[in-house]
Amino acid sequence: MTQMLTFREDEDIIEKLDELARKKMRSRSDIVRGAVREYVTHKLELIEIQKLTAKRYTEGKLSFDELVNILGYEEAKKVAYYKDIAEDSFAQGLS
Amino acid sequence: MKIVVDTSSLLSLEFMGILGDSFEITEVYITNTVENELREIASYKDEKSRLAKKVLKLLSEGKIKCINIKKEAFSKYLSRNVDAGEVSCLALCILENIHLLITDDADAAYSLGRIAMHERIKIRICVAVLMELIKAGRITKLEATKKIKNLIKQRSWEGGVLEVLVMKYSEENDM
Repeated sequence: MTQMLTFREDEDIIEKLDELARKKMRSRSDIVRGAVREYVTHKLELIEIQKLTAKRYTEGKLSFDELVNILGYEEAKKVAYYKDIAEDSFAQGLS
Repeated sequence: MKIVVDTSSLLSLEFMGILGDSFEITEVYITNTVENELREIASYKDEKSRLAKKVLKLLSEGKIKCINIKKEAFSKYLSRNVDAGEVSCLALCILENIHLLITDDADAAYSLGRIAMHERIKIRICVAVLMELIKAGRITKLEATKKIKNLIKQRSWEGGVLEVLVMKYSEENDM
């Protein structure tokens, strides 16, 4: 079963979308559908992996280097940064 | 004390039932972009919509202050990891000299972190407001812990950083 989804987007992105659709000989909807499917699937998988590794990192069971090996440098930095601000939030409140 | 709060954190604070209490200890600011996001969420029919309507009511009562920030003021900070609402909040902090930005979004926090540090803006998650309410004697540590645990469940954050930290907090405080 499918459902209709409508959304608004800036004109410059729509222009790029149309350019891509022309080059790929696909419809606007095909491109958006493919992009949404790819993004949602990838993002959900990534969130699960991130969650698991972030938990172990926060528990002190994974080092930062091990986190980098699993998630890659940028994602690992993001997890470490979030852990830091979350710890600061508990320890310092709004100070 | 003034804080700028993004859409997601406003909903989290309202879900925990502490947004109203937070006005006793801080002035809450949002941007017109965040207001628009809240209006869009309020137009749906789900739990988030109910929360968004309550936040908008507080806005209409003047308890939350909304400042218009033009897109040109923050478009240079936009990236695929951070949306306009969060970036507009950072721009508001810079323009109004507010040194605390509340966001629960790990992607956004990391994307904005470097600029925030440069501008001496601290990024905190919504838990910071709870901790401040404990300091002010408005809620107990036990109440705060329960609220965080309920939030983790409601936002599907089980098994993440926050869950580990709230367990640690509970242990440290003999709960």
